[in-house]
Amino acid sequence: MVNNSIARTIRSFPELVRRVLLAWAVVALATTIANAETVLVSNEKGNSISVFDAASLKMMKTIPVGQRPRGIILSKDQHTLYICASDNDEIEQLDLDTYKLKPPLPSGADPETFALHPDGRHLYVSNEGNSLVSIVDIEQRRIVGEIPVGVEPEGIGISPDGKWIVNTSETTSMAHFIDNEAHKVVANVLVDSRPRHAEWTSDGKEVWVSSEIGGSVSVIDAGSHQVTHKIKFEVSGVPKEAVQAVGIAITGDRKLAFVALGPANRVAVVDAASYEVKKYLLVGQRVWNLAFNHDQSRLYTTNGISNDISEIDVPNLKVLRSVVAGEQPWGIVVRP
Amino acid sequence: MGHRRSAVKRLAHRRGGMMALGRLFAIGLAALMPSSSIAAASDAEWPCQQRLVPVLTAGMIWNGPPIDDVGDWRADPRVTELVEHIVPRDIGPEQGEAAIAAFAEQLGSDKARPITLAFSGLLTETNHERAEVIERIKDLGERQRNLAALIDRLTTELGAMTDAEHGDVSPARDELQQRLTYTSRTYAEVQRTMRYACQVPVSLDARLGAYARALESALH
Repeated sequence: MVNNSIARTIRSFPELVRRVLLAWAVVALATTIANAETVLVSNEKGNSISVFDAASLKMMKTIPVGQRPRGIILSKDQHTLYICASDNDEIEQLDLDTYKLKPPLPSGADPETFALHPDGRHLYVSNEGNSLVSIVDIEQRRIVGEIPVGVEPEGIGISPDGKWIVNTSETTSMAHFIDNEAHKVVANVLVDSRPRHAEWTSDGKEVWVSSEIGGSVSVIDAGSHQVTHKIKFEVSGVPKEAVQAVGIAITGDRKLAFVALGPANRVAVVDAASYEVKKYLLVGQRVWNLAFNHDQSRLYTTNGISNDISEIDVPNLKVLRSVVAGEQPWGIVVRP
Repeated sequence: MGHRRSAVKRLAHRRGGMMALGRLFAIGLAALMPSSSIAAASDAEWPCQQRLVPVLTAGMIWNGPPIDDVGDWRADPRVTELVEHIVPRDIGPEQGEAAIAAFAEQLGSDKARPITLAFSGLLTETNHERAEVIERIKDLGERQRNLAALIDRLTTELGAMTDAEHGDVSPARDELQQRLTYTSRTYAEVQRTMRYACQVPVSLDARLGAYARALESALH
Protein backbone atom coordinates (compact mmCIF):
# COMPACT_ATOMS: atom_id res chain seq x y z
CA MET A 1 0.00 0.00 0.00
CA VAL A 2 2.72 2.42 1.04
CA ASN A 3 4.88 1.44 -1.94
CA ASN A 4 1.94 2.01 -4.38
CA SER A 5 1.34 5.40 -2.87
CA ILE A 6 5.03 6.30 -3.22
CA ALA A 7 4.96 5.18 -6.88
CA ARG A 8 1.88 7.32 -7.65
CA THR A 9 3.49 10.35 -6.03
CA ILE A 10 6.73 9.82 -7.93
CA ARG A 11 4.91 9.68 -11.31
CA SER A 12 3.59 13.20 -10.71
CA PHE A 13 7.13 14.71 -10.51
CA PRO A 14 9.40 15.95 -13.37
CA GLU A 15 11.90 13.46 -14.83
CA LEU A 16 15.03 14.33 -12.75
CA VAL A 17 13.20 14.53 -9.47
CA ARG A 18 11.45 11.29 -10.39
CA ARG A 19 14.75 9.50 -10.91
CA VAL A 20 16.11 10.70 -7.57
CA LEU A 21 12.97 9.66 -5.81
CA LEU A 22 12.97 6.30 -7.55
CA ALA A 23 16.51 5.65 -6.36
CA TRP A 24 15.41 6.60 -2.87
CA ALA A 25 12.44 4.24 -3.13
CA VAL A 26 14.74 1.37 -4.17
CA VAL A 27 16.95 2.03 -1.15
CA ALA A 28 13.87 2.21 1.07
CA LEU A 29 12.60 -1.11 -0.30
CA ALA A 30 16.00 -2.75 0.24
CA THR A 31 15.98 -1.43 3.79
CA THR A 32 12.51 -2.86 4.30
CA ILE A 33 13.75 -6.28 3.18
CA ALA A 34 16.79 -6.03 5.44
CA ASN A 35 14.45 -5.09 8.26
CA ALA A 36 12.85 -8.47 8.03
CA GLU A 37 15.85 -10.07 9.71
CA THR A 38 15.49 -11.01 13.35
CA VAL A 39 18.22 -11.62 15.90
CA LEU A 40 17.46 -14.43 18.35
CA VAL A 41 19.33 -14.66 21.64
CA SER A 42 19.24 -17.30 24.39
CA ASN A 43 19.46 -15.92 27.91
CA GLU A 44 21.20 -18.52 30.07
CA LYS A 45 20.10 -17.09 33.40
CA GLY A 46 16.91 -15.41 32.25
CA ASN A 47 15.60 -18.74 30.88
CA SER A 48 14.25 -17.00 27.82
CA ILE A 49 14.77 -16.18 24.15
CA SER A 50 14.96 -12.50 23.19
CA VAL A 51 13.83 -11.55 19.69
CA PHE A 52 15.23 -8.36 18.13
CA ASP A 53 14.39 -6.61 14.89
CA ALA A 54 17.81 -6.59 13.22
CA ALA A 55 17.47 -3.16 11.62
CA SER A 56 16.39 -1.22 14.68
CA LEU A 57 17.73 -3.67 17.28
CA LYS A 58 14.48 -3.13 19.16
CA MET A 59 13.53 -6.06 21.33
CA MET A 60 10.29 -7.36 19.87
CA LYS A 61 9.57 -10.28 22.18
CA THR A 62 10.88 -12.26 25.12
CA ILE A 63 9.76 -15.87 25.17
CA PRO A 64 10.11 -17.92 28.37
CA VAL A 65 11.73 -21.29 27.65
CA GLY A 66 13.30 -24.14 29.65
CA GLN A 67 16.03 -23.92 32.24
CA ARG A 68 19.45 -22.61 31.25
CA PRO A 69 19.08 -22.19 27.50
CA ARG A 70 22.49 -22.01 25.83
CA GLY A 71 23.20 -23.29 22.29
CA ILE A 72 20.61 -22.28 19.67
CA ILE A 73 20.36 -23.19 15.97
CA LEU A 74 17.92 -22.36 13.19
CA SER A 75 16.26 -25.26 11.39
CA LYS A 76 17.14 -25.71 7.74
CA ASP A 77 13.84 -24.10 6.66
CA GLN A 78 14.44 -21.34 9.23
CA HIS A 79 10.97 -21.70 10.73
CA THR A 80 12.09 -23.38 13.97
CA LEU A 81 14.67 -22.49 16.58
CA TYR A 82 16.28 -25.44 18.36
CA ILE A 83 17.30 -24.60 21.92
CA CYS A 84 19.61 -26.57 24.23
CA ALA A 85 17.73 -26.30 27.52
CA SER A 86 20.67 -27.60 29.51
CA ASP A 87 19.03 -28.08 32.90
CA ASN A 88 15.88 -29.59 31.40
CA ASP A 89 17.99 -32.21 29.59
CA GLU A 90 16.12 -31.61 26.36
CA ILE A 91 16.11 -29.61 23.15
CA GLU A 92 13.20 -27.27 22.86
CA GLN A 93 11.66 -26.30 19.54
CA LEU A 94 10.40 -22.77 19.14
CA ASP A 95 8.08 -22.15 16.19
CA LEU A 96 9.35 -18.84 14.77
CA ASP A 97 6.09 -18.06 13.00
CA THR A 98 3.92 -18.31 16.10
CA TYR A 99 6.62 -18.03 18.79
CA LYS A 100 5.07 -21.02 20.55
CA LEU A 101 7.04 -23.99 21.83
CA LYS A 102 6.49 -27.28 20.04
CA PRO A 103 7.05 -30.70 21.70
CA PRO A 104 10.72 -30.97 22.71
CA LEU A 105 13.38 -33.28 21.31
CA PRO A 106 15.44 -35.64 23.44
CA SER A 107 19.03 -34.56 23.89
CA GLY A 108 20.86 -36.84 26.27
CA ALA A 109 22.18 -35.42 29.54
CA ASP A 110 23.13 -31.78 29.94
CA PRO A 111 23.09 -30.50 26.37
CA GLU A 112 25.19 -27.37 26.01
CA THR A 113 25.97 -27.00 22.34
CA PHE A 114 24.96 -28.80 19.17
CA ALA A 115 25.27 -28.72 15.41
CA LEU A 116 22.77 -29.32 12.62
CA HIS A 117 23.73 -31.79 9.89
CA PRO A 118 23.48 -30.32 6.36
CA ASP A 119 20.58 -32.75 5.75
CA GLY A 120 18.59 -30.60 8.20
CA ARG A 121 17.27 -33.74 9.85
CA HIS A 122 19.87 -34.63 12.46
CA LEU A 123 21.23 -32.72 15.42
CA TYR A 124 24.56 -33.68 16.98
CA VAL A 125 24.52 -32.80 20.66
CA SER A 126 27.44 -32.49 23.09
CA ASN A 127 26.43 -34.21 26.33
CA GLU A 128 28.86 -32.64 28.71
CA GLY A 129 27.89 -34.87 31.63
CA ASN A 130 28.46 -38.30 30.11
CA SER A 131 31.17 -37.86 27.46
CA LEU A 132 28.90 -38.57 24.52
CA VAL A 133 27.72 -36.96 21.35
CA SER A 134 24.05 -37.85 20.86
CA ILE A 135 22.55 -37.96 17.37
CA VAL A 136 18.96 -36.77 17.37
CA ASP A 137 16.54 -37.52 14.54
CA ILE A 138 14.39 -34.39 14.46
CA GLU A 139 11.45 -35.88 12.56
CA GLN A 140 11.27 -39.01 14.69
CA ARG A 141 12.03 -37.05 17.87
CA ARG A 142 14.37 -39.70 19.17
CA ILE A 143 18.06 -40.35 19.74
CA VAL A 144 19.29 -42.60 16.97
CA GLY A 145 22.95 -42.85 17.89
CA GLU A 146 25.57 -42.10 20.54
CA ILE A 147 29.25 -41.53 19.92
CA PRO A 148 31.68 -41.84 22.87
CA VAL A 149 34.09 -38.89 22.95
CA GLY A 150 36.50 -37.22 25.39
CA VAL A 151 35.65 -36.03 28.88
CA GLU A 152 33.35 -33.00 29.02
CA PRO A 153 32.57 -32.59 25.33
CA GLU A 154 31.98 -28.99 24.47
CA GLY A 155 32.14 -27.38 21.02
CA ILE A 156 30.85 -29.27 18.03
CA GLY A 157 31.06 -28.58 14.31
CA ILE A 158 30.01 -30.56 11.22
CA SER A 159 31.89 -30.30 7.93
CA PRO A 160 29.95 -28.65 5.09
CA ASP A 161 29.60 -32.07 3.36
CA GLY A 162 28.33 -33.68 6.57
CA LYS A 163 31.02 -36.38 6.55
CA TRP A 164 33.07 -35.18 9.52
CA ILE A 165 32.27 -34.05 13.01
CA VAL A 166 34.72 -32.22 15.23
CA ASN A 167 33.99 -32.27 18.91
CA THR A 168 36.16 -30.57 21.54
CA SER A 169 36.87 -32.05 24.96
CA GLU A 170 37.18 -29.50 27.72
CA THR A 171 39.14 -31.71 30.10
CA THR A 172 41.56 -33.42 27.73
CA SER A 173 42.09 -30.29 25.61
CA MET A 174 41.54 -32.18 22.39
CA ALA A 175 39.60 -31.79 19.18
CA HIS A 176 38.21 -35.20 18.18
CA PHE A 177 37.66 -35.85 14.47
CA ILE A 178 34.74 -38.25 14.06
CA ASP A 179 33.98 -40.16 10.89
CA ASN A 180 30.25 -39.60 10.58
CA GLU A 181 29.63 -42.82 8.67
CA ALA A 182 31.42 -45.12 11.09
CA HIS A 183 30.55 -42.94 14.09
CA LYS A 184 34.11 -43.45 15.30
CA VAL A 185 36.79 -41.04 16.49
CA VAL A 186 39.60 -41.28 13.95
CA ALA A 187 41.94 -38.53 15.18
CA ASN A 188 42.58 -36.65 18.39
CA VAL A 189 44.25 -33.29 17.97
CA LEU A 190 45.81 -31.61 20.99
CA VAL A 191 44.93 -27.93 21.29
CA ASP A 192 45.33 -25.35 24.05
CA SER A 193 43.55 -25.57 27.38
CA ARG A 194 39.75 -25.73 27.61
CA PRO A 195 38.69 -25.81 23.96
CA ARG A 196 35.30 -24.21 23.53
CA HIS A 197 34.21 -23.87 19.93
CA ALA A 198 34.89 -25.66 16.62
CA GLU A 199 34.18 -23.77 13.40
CA TRP A 200 34.64 -25.22 9.91
CA THR A 201 35.65 -22.96 7.06
CA SER A 202 33.05 -22.83 4.28
CA ASP A 203 35.32 -24.86 1.94
CA GLY A 204 35.67 -27.66 4.51
CA LYS A 205 39.47 -27.44 4.47
CA GLU A 206 40.09 -26.14 7.99
CA VAL A 207 38.60 -26.29 11.45
CA TRP A 208 39.26 -23.42 13.83
CA VAL A 209 39.16 -24.41 17.51
CA SER A 210 39.15 -21.76 20.25
CA SER A 211 40.70 -22.38 23.68
CA GLU A 212 39.23 -20.43 26.56
CA ILE A 213 42.10 -20.78 29.03
CA GLY A 214 44.78 -20.96 26.37
CA GLY A 215 43.45 -17.71 24.95
CA SER A 216 44.18 -18.93 21.43
CA VAL A 217 42.74 -20.43 18.27
CA SER A 218 44.23 -23.58 16.72
CA VAL A 219 43.75 -23.84 12.98
CA ILE A 220 43.57 -27.53 12.05
CA ASP A 221 43.99 -28.88 8.54
CA ALA A 222 40.95 -31.10 7.99
CA GLY A 223 42.84 -33.52 5.76
CA SER A 224 45.99 -34.14 7.77
CA HIS A 225 44.47 -33.41 11.22
CA GLN A 226 47.51 -31.26 12.02
CA VAL A 227 47.50 -27.88 13.71
CA THR A 228 48.87 -25.64 10.97
CA HIS A 229 48.56 -22.27 12.71
CA LYS A 230 48.16 -21.08 16.27
CA ILE A 231 46.59 -17.64 16.62
CA LYS A 232 47.40 -15.88 19.89
CA PHE A 233 45.69 -12.78 21.19
CA GLU A 234 47.26 -9.96 23.17
CA VAL A 235 45.20 -6.92 23.96
CA SER A 236 47.07 -3.86 25.20
CA GLY A 237 46.10 -2.99 28.77
CA VAL A 238 44.16 -6.22 29.29
CA PRO A 239 45.51 -8.94 31.62
CA LYS A 240 46.34 -12.27 30.00
CA GLU A 241 43.81 -14.14 32.17
CA ALA A 242 41.02 -12.03 30.73
CA VAL A 243 41.81 -13.01 27.14
CA GLN A 244 39.60 -16.09 26.75
CA ALA A 245 38.88 -17.22 23.20
CA VAL A 246 35.36 -18.57 22.78
CA GLY A 247 33.01 -17.97 19.81
CA ILE A 248 34.32 -17.93 16.23
CA ALA A 249 32.71 -16.68 13.02
CA ILE A 250 34.44 -16.94 9.62
CA THR A 251 33.14 -15.15 6.54
CA GLY A 252 31.99 -17.33 3.67
CA ASP A 253 34.71 -15.92 1.40
CA ARG A 254 37.29 -16.88 4.07
CA LYS A 255 38.75 -13.39 4.13
CA LEU A 256 37.97 -12.55 7.75
CA ALA A 257 37.48 -14.38 11.00
CA PHE A 258 36.10 -12.97 14.22
CA VAL A 259 36.94 -14.42 17.62
CA ALA A 260 35.11 -13.52 20.84
CA LEU A 261 37.58 -12.97 23.69
CA GLY A 262 35.35 -13.31 26.77
CA PRO A 263 36.18 -10.96 29.67
CA ALA A 264 38.69 -9.05 27.51
CA ASN A 265 35.45 -7.59 26.14
CA ARG A 266 36.92 -7.61 22.67
CA VAL A 267 36.22 -9.31 19.38
CA ALA A 268 39.45 -10.04 17.52
CA VAL A 269 39.41 -9.52 13.77
CA VAL A 270 41.71 -12.00 12.03
CA ASP A 271 42.87 -12.08 8.42
CA ALA A 272 41.76 -15.62 7.62
CA ALA A 273 44.36 -15.99 4.87
CA SER A 274 47.46 -14.79 6.76
CA TYR A 275 46.13 -15.67 10.26
CA GLU A 276 47.27 -12.23 11.48
CA VAL A 277 45.17 -10.34 14.00
CA LYS A 278 44.13 -7.09 12.33
CA LYS A 279 42.19 -5.36 15.04
CA TYR A 280 40.40 -5.68 18.38
CA LEU A 281 36.89 -4.29 18.72
CA LEU A 282 35.60 -3.24 22.15
CA VAL A 283 32.12 -4.70 22.74
CA GLY A 284 30.10 -5.56 25.86
CA GLN A 285 31.36 -7.48 28.88
CA ARG A 286 32.29 -11.16 28.58
CA VAL A 287 31.61 -11.55 24.88
CA TRP A 288 30.79 -15.20 24.26
CA ASN A 289 29.15 -16.15 20.96
CA LEU A 290 28.90 -14.57 17.53
CA ALA A 291 26.51 -14.66 14.57
CA PHE A 292 26.50 -13.04 11.14
CA ASN A 293 23.41 -11.73 9.48
CA HIS A 294 22.34 -13.12 6.09
CA ASP A 295 24.76 -11.17 3.84
CA GLN A 296 27.49 -11.05 6.52
CA SER A 297 27.47 -7.27 6.58
CA ARG A 298 26.71 -7.35 10.30
CA LEU A 299 28.04 -9.46 13.15
CA TYR A 300 26.22 -9.74 16.45
CA THR A 301 27.76 -10.72 19.79
CA THR A 302 26.31 -11.92 23.10
CA ASN A 303 27.83 -10.23 26.14
CA GLY A 304 27.14 -12.34 29.23
CA ILE A 305 28.07 -9.92 32.00
CA SER A 306 26.75 -6.63 30.65
CA ASN A 307 23.57 -8.47 29.61
CA ASP A 308 23.53 -6.99 26.14
CA ILE A 309 24.32 -7.72 22.51
CA SER A 310 26.64 -5.67 20.29
CA GLU A 311 26.34 -5.03 16.56
CA ILE A 312 29.47 -4.84 14.40
CA ASP A 313 29.66 -3.28 10.95
CA VAL A 314 31.69 -5.97 9.13
CA PRO A 315 32.91 -4.00 6.05
CA ASN A 316 34.06 -1.09 8.22
CA LEU A 317 35.10 -3.18 11.26
CA LYS A 318 33.29 -0.86 13.67
CA VAL A 319 31.07 -1.49 16.66
CA LEU A 320 27.81 0.27 15.92
CA ARG A 321 25.82 -0.15 19.12
CA SER A 322 24.96 -2.37 22.05
CA VAL A 323 21.44 -3.04 23.28
CA VAL A 324 20.09 -4.72 26.39
CA ALA A 325 19.09 -8.39 26.10
CA GLY A 326 17.92 -10.77 28.85
CA GLU A 327 19.89 -12.07 31.80
CA GLN A 328 23.21 -13.59 30.74
CA PRO A 329 22.85 -13.76 26.96
CA TRP A 330 24.65 -16.83 25.54
CA GLY A 331 23.64 -18.16 22.11
CA ILE A 332 22.80 -16.04 19.09
CA VAL A 333 21.49 -16.60 15.54
CA VAL A 334 20.06 -14.32 12.87
CA ARG A 335 16.95 -15.41 11.00
CA PRO A 336 16.88 -13.97 7.46
CA MET B 1 31.50 -27.62 33.98
CA GLY B 2 27.86 -28.50 33.58
CA HIS B 3 28.66 -32.11 34.45
CA ARG B 4 28.56 -31.19 38.12
CA ARG B 5 24.92 -30.30 38.01
CA SER B 6 23.97 -33.24 35.85
CA ALA B 7 25.95 -35.65 38.03
CA VAL B 8 23.83 -34.49 40.96
CA LYS B 9 20.66 -35.06 38.98
CA ARG B 10 21.65 -38.51 37.74
CA LEU B 11 22.71 -39.80 41.10
CA ALA B 12 19.62 -38.42 42.77
CA HIS B 13 17.52 -40.35 40.27
CA ARG B 14 19.40 -43.59 40.30
CA ARG B 15 20.54 -44.11 43.84
CA GLY B 16 19.43 -43.43 47.34
CA GLY B 17 21.23 -43.20 50.62
CA MET B 18 24.26 -41.45 51.84
CA MET B 19 26.69 -43.92 50.30
CA ALA B 20 25.70 -42.61 46.92
CA LEU B 21 25.93 -39.06 48.14
CA GLY B 22 29.30 -39.81 49.62
CA ARG B 23 30.53 -40.97 46.23
CA LEU B 24 29.00 -37.90 44.65
CA PHE B 25 30.83 -35.59 46.98
CA ALA B 26 34.01 -37.49 46.35
CA ILE B 27 33.41 -36.64 42.71
CA GLY B 28 32.92 -33.10 43.99
CA LEU B 29 36.56 -33.10 45.04
CA ALA B 30 37.47 -33.18 41.40
CA ALA B 31 34.60 -30.93 40.49
CA LEU B 32 35.81 -28.25 42.84
CA MET B 33 38.97 -27.93 40.87
CA PRO B 34 38.45 -25.98 37.68
CA SER B 35 38.72 -28.48 34.86
CA SER B 36 41.51 -28.96 32.35
CA SER B 37 43.90 -30.01 35.15
CA ILE B 38 43.30 -27.53 35.70
CA ALA B 39 43.56 -24.17 34.24
CA ALA B 40 46.51 -21.97 34.75
CA ALA B 41 48.47 -21.94 37.99
CA SER B 42 46.59 -18.88 39.22
CA ASP B 43 43.32 -20.79 38.81
CA ALA B 44 44.43 -23.83 40.79
CA GLU B 45 42.57 -22.88 43.93
CA TRP B 46 39.70 -21.15 42.23
CA PRO B 47 36.45 -23.06 42.70
CA CYS B 48 34.13 -21.04 40.47
CA GLN B 49 33.03 -21.92 36.97
CA GLN B 50 34.23 -18.63 35.51
CA ARG B 51 37.95 -18.42 35.03
CA LEU B 52 39.60 -16.20 37.63
CA VAL B 53 40.53 -12.75 36.40
CA PRO B 54 42.35 -11.40 39.48
CA VAL B 55 42.33 -7.71 38.57
CA LEU B 56 40.18 -5.53 36.34
CA THR B 57 42.02 -2.97 34.22
CA ALA B 58 40.92 0.16 32.42
CA GLY B 59 41.78 -1.50 29.11
CA MET B 60 39.06 -4.08 29.68
CA ILE B 61 36.15 -1.67 29.94
CA TRP B 62 37.09 1.99 29.61
CA ASN B 63 36.79 3.74 26.27
CA GLY B 64 37.44 7.26 27.63
CA PRO B 65 40.67 9.25 28.09
CA PRO B 66 43.69 7.37 29.52
CA ILE B 67 43.75 7.16 33.30
CA ASP B 68 47.50 6.72 33.77
CA ASP B 69 48.40 10.39 33.91
CA VAL B 70 45.14 11.79 35.15
CA GLY B 71 46.34 12.19 38.74
CA ASP B 72 45.01 11.23 42.16
CA TRP B 73 41.27 10.81 42.21
CA ARG B 74 41.24 11.43 45.96
CA ALA B 75 42.45 15.00 45.41
CA ASP B 76 39.07 16.03 43.99
CA PRO B 77 36.38 16.06 46.73
CA ARG B 78 33.55 15.75 44.18
CA VAL B 79 35.10 12.58 42.82
CA THR B 80 35.86 11.17 46.26
CA GLU B 81 32.28 11.74 47.34
CA LEU B 82 30.92 9.97 44.26
CA VAL B 83 33.29 7.00 44.49
CA GLU B 84 32.74 6.45 48.19
CA HIS B 85 29.00 6.70 47.69
CA ILE B 86 28.62 4.18 44.87
CA VAL B 87 31.36 1.63 45.49
CA PRO B 88 29.86 -0.26 48.48
CA ARG B 89 28.52 -3.63 47.41
CA ASP B 90 24.96 -2.90 48.48
CA ILE B 91 24.66 -0.11 45.89
CA GLY B 92 22.96 -1.38 42.74
CA PRO B 93 24.01 -0.26 39.24
CA GLU B 94 20.87 1.84 38.72
CA GLN B 95 21.47 3.75 41.95
CA GLY B 96 25.12 4.27 41.00
CA GLU B 97 24.24 5.41 37.49
CA ALA B 98 21.82 8.00 38.92
CA ALA B 99 24.58 9.29 41.19
CA ILE B 100 26.95 9.50 38.20
CA ALA B 101 24.35 11.49 36.26
CA ALA B 102 24.00 13.92 39.18
CA PHE B 103 27.79 14.14 39.47
CA ALA B 104 28.17 14.91 35.76
CA GLU B 105 25.41 17.50 35.91
CA GLN B 106 27.33 19.69 38.34
CA LEU B 107 30.50 19.68 36.22
CA GLY B 108 31.29 22.62 33.98
CA SER B 109 32.60 22.45 30.45
CA ASP B 110 35.93 21.00 31.59
CA LYS B 111 34.42 17.71 32.63
CA ALA B 112 36.78 15.21 30.97
CA ARG B 113 39.28 15.23 33.83
CA PRO B 114 36.85 14.78 36.75
CA ILE B 115 35.01 12.06 34.82
CA THR B 116 38.26 10.24 34.09
CA LEU B 117 39.28 10.63 37.73
CA ALA B 118 35.93 9.17 38.75
CA PHE B 119 36.51 6.11 36.60
CA SER B 120 40.03 5.76 38.00
CA GLY B 121 38.64 5.84 41.56
CA LEU B 122 35.83 3.40 40.80
CA LEU B 123 38.27 0.99 39.16
CA THR B 124 40.69 1.12 42.13
CA GLU B 125 38.00 0.70 44.75
CA THR B 126 36.11 -2.01 42.85
CA ASN B 127 39.37 -3.96 42.58
CA HIS B 128 39.77 -3.70 46.37
CA GLU B 129 36.24 -5.04 46.85
CA ARG B 130 36.88 -7.84 44.35
CA ALA B 131 40.17 -8.83 45.95
CA GLU B 132 38.45 -9.33 49.31
CA VAL B 133 35.67 -11.39 47.73
CA ILE B 134 38.16 -13.49 45.77
CA GLU B 135 40.10 -14.33 48.93
CA ARG B 136 36.90 -15.40 50.70
CA ILE B 137 35.90 -17.59 47.78
CA LYS B 138 39.33 -19.23 47.75
CA ASP B 139 38.98 -19.94 51.50
CA LEU B 140 35.58 -21.47 50.84
CA GLY B 141 37.09 -23.58 48.05
CA GLU B 142 39.81 -24.87 50.35
CA ARG B 143 37.20 -25.80 52.93
CA GLN B 144 35.26 -27.72 50.32
CA ARG B 145 38.34 -29.57 49.14
CA ASN B 146 39.04 -30.66 52.71
CA LEU B 147 35.43 -31.75 53.20
CA ALA B 148 35.45 -33.64 49.90
CA ALA B 149 38.63 -35.46 50.92
CA LEU B 150 37.03 -36.41 54.24
CA ILE B 151 33.90 -37.67 52.49
CA ASP B 152 36.05 -39.71 50.16
CA ARG B 153 37.87 -41.29 53.12
CA LEU B 154 34.68 -41.98 55.12
CA THR B 155 33.02 -43.52 52.06
CA THR B 156 35.98 -45.83 51.52
CA GLU B 157 36.02 -46.85 55.19
CA LEU B 158 32.28 -47.50 55.21
CA GLY B 159 32.56 -49.56 52.04
CA ALA B 160 35.30 -51.65 53.64
CA MET B 161 33.02 -52.60 56.57
CA THR B 162 31.37 -55.73 55.23
CA ASP B 163 28.11 -57.02 56.67
CA ALA B 164 29.81 -60.29 57.51
CA GLU B 165 32.30 -58.57 59.75
CA HIS B 166 30.15 -55.94 61.38
CA GLY B 167 26.47 -56.76 60.77
CA ASP B 168 23.75 -54.23 59.96
CA VAL B 169 23.55 -52.82 63.49
CA SER B 170 27.24 -52.41 64.21
CA PRO B 171 27.77 -49.26 66.38
CA ALA B 172 31.02 -48.52 64.56
CA ARG B 173 29.21 -48.64 61.27
CA ASP B 174 26.41 -46.39 62.57
CA GLU B 175 28.91 -43.83 63.81
CA LEU B 176 30.73 -43.77 60.50
CA GLN B 177 27.45 -43.46 58.64
CA GLN B 178 26.40 -40.53 60.81
CA ARG B 179 29.71 -38.78 60.26
CA LEU B 180 29.38 -39.26 56.54
CA THR B 181 25.82 -37.92 56.59
CA TYR B 182 26.79 -34.86 58.58
CA THR B 183 29.87 -34.10 56.49
CA SER B 184 27.96 -34.55 53.25
CA ARG B 185 25.23 -32.17 54.41
CA THR B 186 27.81 -29.57 55.40
CA TYR B 187 29.42 -29.94 51.99
CA ALA B 188 26.09 -29.41 50.25
CA GLU B 189 25.35 -26.30 52.33
CA VAL B 190 28.75 -24.77 51.60
CA GLN B 191 28.30 -25.60 47.94
CA ARG B 192 25.08 -23.58 47.86
CA THR B 193 26.92 -20.66 49.48
CA MET B 194 29.69 -21.09 46.92
CA ARG B 195 27.29 -20.73 43.99
CA TYR B 196 26.11 -17.43 45.43
CA ALA B 197 29.64 -16.28 46.31
CA CYS B 198 30.93 -16.97 42.79
CA GLN B 199 28.37 -14.54 41.43
CA VAL B 200 29.67 -11.64 43.55
CA PRO B 201 32.77 -10.86 41.43
CA VAL B 202 30.60 -11.19 38.32
CA SER B 203 28.15 -8.65 39.74
CA LEU B 204 30.98 -6.27 40.62
CA ASP B 205 32.37 -6.59 37.08
CA ALA B 206 28.94 -5.90 35.62
CA ARG B 207 28.39 -2.89 37.86
CA LEU B 208 31.79 -1.37 37.02
CA GLY B 209 30.99 -1.84 33.33
CA ALA B 210 27.69 -0.01 33.82
CA TYR B 211 29.48 2.80 35.67
CA ALA B 212 32.10 3.06 32.90
CA ARG B 213 29.39 3.34 30.24
CA ALA B 214 27.51 5.98 32.27
CA LEU B 215 30.70 8.04 32.67
CA GLU B 216 31.57 7.69 28.98
CA SER B 217 28.11 8.82 28.05
CA ALA B 218 28.51 11.88 30.34
CA LEU B 219 31.71 12.79 28.48
CA HIS B 220 29.78 13.49 25.28
